[in-house]
Amino acid sequence: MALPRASTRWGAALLLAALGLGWAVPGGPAGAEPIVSGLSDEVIEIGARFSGSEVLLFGATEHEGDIVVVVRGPWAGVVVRRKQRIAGFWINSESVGFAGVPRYYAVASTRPLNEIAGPELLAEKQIGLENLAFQAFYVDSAEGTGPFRDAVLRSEQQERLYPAESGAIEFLGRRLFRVAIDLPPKLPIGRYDVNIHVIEAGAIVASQTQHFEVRKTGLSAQIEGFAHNQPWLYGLLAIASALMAGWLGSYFFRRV
Amino acid sequence: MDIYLPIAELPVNLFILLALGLAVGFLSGMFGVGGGFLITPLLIFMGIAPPIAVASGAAQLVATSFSGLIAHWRRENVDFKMGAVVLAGGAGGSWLGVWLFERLSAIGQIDLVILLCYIAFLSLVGLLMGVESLRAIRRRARGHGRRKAHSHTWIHGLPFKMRFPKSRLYISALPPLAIGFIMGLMASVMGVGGGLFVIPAMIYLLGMPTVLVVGTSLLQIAFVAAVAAFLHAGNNQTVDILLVLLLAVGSVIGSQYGVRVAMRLHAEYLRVLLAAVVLIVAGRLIYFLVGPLDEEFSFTFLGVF
Repeated sequence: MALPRASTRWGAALLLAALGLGWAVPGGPAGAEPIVSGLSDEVIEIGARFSGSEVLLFGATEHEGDIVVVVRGPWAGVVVRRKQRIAGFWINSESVGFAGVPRYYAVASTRPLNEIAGPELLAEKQIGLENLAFQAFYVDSAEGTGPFRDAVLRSEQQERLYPAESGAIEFLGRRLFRVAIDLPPKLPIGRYDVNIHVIEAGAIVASQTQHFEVRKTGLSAQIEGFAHNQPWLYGLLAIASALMAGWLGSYFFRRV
Repeated sequence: MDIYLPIAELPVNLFILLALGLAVGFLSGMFGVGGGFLITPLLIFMGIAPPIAVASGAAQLVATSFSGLIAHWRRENVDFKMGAVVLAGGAGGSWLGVWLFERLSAIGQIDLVILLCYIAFLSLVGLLMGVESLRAIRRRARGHGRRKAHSHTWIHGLPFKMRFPKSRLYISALPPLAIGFIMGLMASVMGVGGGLFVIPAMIYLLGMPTVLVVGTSLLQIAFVAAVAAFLHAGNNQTVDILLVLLLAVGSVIGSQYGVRVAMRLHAEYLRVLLAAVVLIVAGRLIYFLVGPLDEEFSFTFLGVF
């Protein structure tokens, strides 16, 4: 994969920082030596031409263990409705409301997750799609929340918001690693968490969390800001510009 | 080439939007309907959230119908007095419609109601228009060209009579008010301008001269759609101005060509064609309601929790 120039520069800077810090910084709390890591971008800007992007995570660790990276956020509530055939028609019948649903969720690891840690640890840290826990704030379903949760996973996967299987962690040398986080076109706006865990013999020996933020920029941000700050004026302007477009059309085509 | 829509929050292909606008504008110019019944479902199909599709679709209708309205206005084919009476009824219908929309959304059945309304309405209009226009074509083929301007029915016995000099009518104000009321109801619940309903109603119920009907209907659509878009923008911030303008570019151009094609075709053939389009859309919606389902579940995201 050809890296953009900026990312390569970042990588080099991080490599130096990682090597420097890795030796210089003494061990943190007992048994948890710090991980050194950084993101190629801390702000993803969505402009008029945005059609997906990528964030690179660089890191280094003294530990020999496996590395697991979990990216998730921003959190939302969702009401899932299920259609059932009633008298031949498809009609919304049962529904479940979930809170704490990340709109984006991706995992990368050095080995398959089940070889790295036991199910209890994976469930506790919500590592892996099957361990992603949603809290149902209301349930109107005879079959429980299971099928509704699966439906959310399926739908988010279709938009590439939940990349199905864990991505790869690439090693650059012995201790420096890199993860490419794929950001699809329909990327929700908000704050994203990147959790980095080092797991040795089925236990977490070091963790670190980084954040990046996805926000609109340029014309997109201005339009959105205008629409939210002065909605009635925005409405008038929208109608005025639609009238203008209609008038221009009829003016230019009058003599065709 | 993809362009990111700031309110809908997703990238869409620029050329697909322009082509969609052209196609809807062409139909709109040709038949004198706004095309809301086509554009809103198509935007939803492209992945745009339904509230944003309805609101931006309404704003787009303003552009298309205003462009058509100017063309008819210039030819003096608009009855503003009739338009005002129908719109007065429309205000009441919109108010009831917004209230209904909120109640039905609360119980989670709004999509079913919208779908059933669309199906019932499109099937009825499509069938009536198809049968009527086929009869007219047969009558013309047999050479019986002449027909009464309009027939006197119970409609003409109602009280509160008003004069509409432009349409050369002296009728009760109640039927235009009722037509407006139903149109307002449809605009707020279904997100359509109501041209498909208003045009046949003005021809067959009120007996207005056909030449005035298209222009007067475009006046209603432009007004109702502008009010709907304004309310949606002010209350829900769901109008995506970039989406509106991109669609408008295509639809305004398309509608001018639609008008030109319409002038070369006989009114009866136009109505047969429109009936066919309407019935195809109705058929697709019926299939959607009873046919095999590709996704059993639907999702409403509630913002950041």
